[in-house]
Amino acid sequence: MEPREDFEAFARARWVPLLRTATLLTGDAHAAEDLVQETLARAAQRWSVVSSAGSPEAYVRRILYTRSVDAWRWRRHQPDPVEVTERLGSRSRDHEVDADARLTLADALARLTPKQRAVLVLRFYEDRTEVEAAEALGCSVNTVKSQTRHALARLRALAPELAPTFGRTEVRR
Amino acid sequence: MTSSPLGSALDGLVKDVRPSAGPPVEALWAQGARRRARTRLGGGAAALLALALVAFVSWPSLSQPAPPTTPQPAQTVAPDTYPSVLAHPYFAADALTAHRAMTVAVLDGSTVYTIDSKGTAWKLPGSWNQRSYAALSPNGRWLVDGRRVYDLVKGTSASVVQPGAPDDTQLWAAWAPDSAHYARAYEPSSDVVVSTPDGTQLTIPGASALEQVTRGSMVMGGWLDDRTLMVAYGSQSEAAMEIQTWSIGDDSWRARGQLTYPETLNLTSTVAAVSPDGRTVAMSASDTSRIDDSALVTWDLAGLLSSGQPTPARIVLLHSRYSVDGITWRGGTPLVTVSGHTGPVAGPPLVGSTAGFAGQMSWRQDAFAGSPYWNSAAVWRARLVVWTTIPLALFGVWLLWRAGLWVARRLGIIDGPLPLRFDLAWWRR
Repeated sequence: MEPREDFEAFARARWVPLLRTATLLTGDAHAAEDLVQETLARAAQRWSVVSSAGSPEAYVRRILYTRSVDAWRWRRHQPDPVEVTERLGSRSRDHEVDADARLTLADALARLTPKQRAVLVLRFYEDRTEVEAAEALGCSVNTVKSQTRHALARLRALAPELAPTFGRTEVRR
Repeated sequence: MTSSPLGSALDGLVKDVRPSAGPPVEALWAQGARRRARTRLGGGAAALLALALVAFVSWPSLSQPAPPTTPQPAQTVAPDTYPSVLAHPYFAADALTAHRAMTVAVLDGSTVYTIDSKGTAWKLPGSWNQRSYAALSPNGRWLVDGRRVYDLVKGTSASVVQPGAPDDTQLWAAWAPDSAHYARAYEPSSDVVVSTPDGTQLTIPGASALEQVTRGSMVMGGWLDDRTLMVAYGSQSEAAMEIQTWSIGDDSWRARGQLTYPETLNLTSTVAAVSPDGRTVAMSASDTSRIDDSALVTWDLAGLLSSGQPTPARIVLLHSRYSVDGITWRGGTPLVTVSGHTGPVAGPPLVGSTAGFAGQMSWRQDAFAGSPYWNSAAVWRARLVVWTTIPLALFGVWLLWRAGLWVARRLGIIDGPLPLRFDLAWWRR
């Protein structure tokens, strides 16, 4: 398959999963779409290297997480937590999870640092090990551990009513 | 995807995320292609710029005038310019390929640089610790450094005659105003050797007779005219020097009287100069009654030679903790070199230098007859070397790092794409 066709097939197949992850990382649908587009453009820039690695997904996700944490523009455009709450929380009011809990969680997530958010998404949304999370973020395993601990502690402080969700069992994972 | 309560909660937040449209794959690919082209273009431009920079600062012929193809006759006409700034030539060409009379010689550590009237610098071949001085002849053609005498116009050099005592060390060298002879002095033998640039050594009466009347510690020397050499010996009285002169062809030295100075002065024997008209002698000194204060001391030689009476010193404090690295003359006014800057003891310097370029300086006699000349190419070369050394070194390390990774991946030593950035976590994995 030609590199271009290969890239286009990959982008179409992974667009939605990447967008969901980016939404958790940015807390904003528009910013998430910008982040995914930036990520895919960077992947396209080096597609011959990315595709030859055998696992383009892993490489693209590393770009996604690195950009979400490092890039000043994502940080500069950090959405207002209230706005995030409205966007993330209102999208699925009819979902089985309680709408109030969803609003609270979205609000608490928005108040974390980008790196804390990225660690939580990697560890609990994508179910990655600490080693895999460290590799994706380009940091040490100890950093992942400490960031996870701090993020969960902050979530417990911000949303004590969701304490069972952020319980101590999460830390030991 | 997840099994923990938090994972489920996060999944619930984005489970219903649906993009309004599909990915703009064609635009993304085009954007990636543009970035790829820009990166390659930028990388190529950066590499070319780095190469050009390295070539500019390290390839002397890019900023130096081409040497004449045939040896030039001795330059007896005074240069119409002198360099207003002496720029450190980090990658200078061989001075013997310049084939021109020079304006100044700089002894920087054990390396000698010669600089012409327009500020272009060359480096003398060889570098050894025994270089105590680098004395440029008054006409700028010859240079003697204690081991060899160099003809800068013809581009040749020859060994100089060494005195008999093997443990002698070199003190100073002084050229006659017409550049036809030069004298070299050694200690502790107090030997004085007078030679011509072509290597002929003149017969000169020994210093032993002088030592009978003096303490035997030679201080300084210079030429009063084209044929008369003067040396100053430390006197038995602490704060005076005995002056002796010898003219070419004479069979003995003549005692001419004393130069006196305050006991608080500590004279620097290797930094001294007689004015071209032979009427004044100047020496560097430090005033021991003050902390770290250099001084320029001058004596009226003409008065001493005519009257034979002890001549007192005139002292000008330089208010500098740096010592004087050279003395030259502009008319009857002494110019001193301190920390790479040369000028009158009062007022702004005539010649500056780029950072870190300092040392003993020896100027041709008529160096300051012309107007100042600013050699911007030489100055910028020196500045660029200082400014770009660290960035270029880092760039080189980065290039090696990337090249090493590329090779390692090609050889299968490491798997996967190159890391997005250099970090210890990737390195340790």
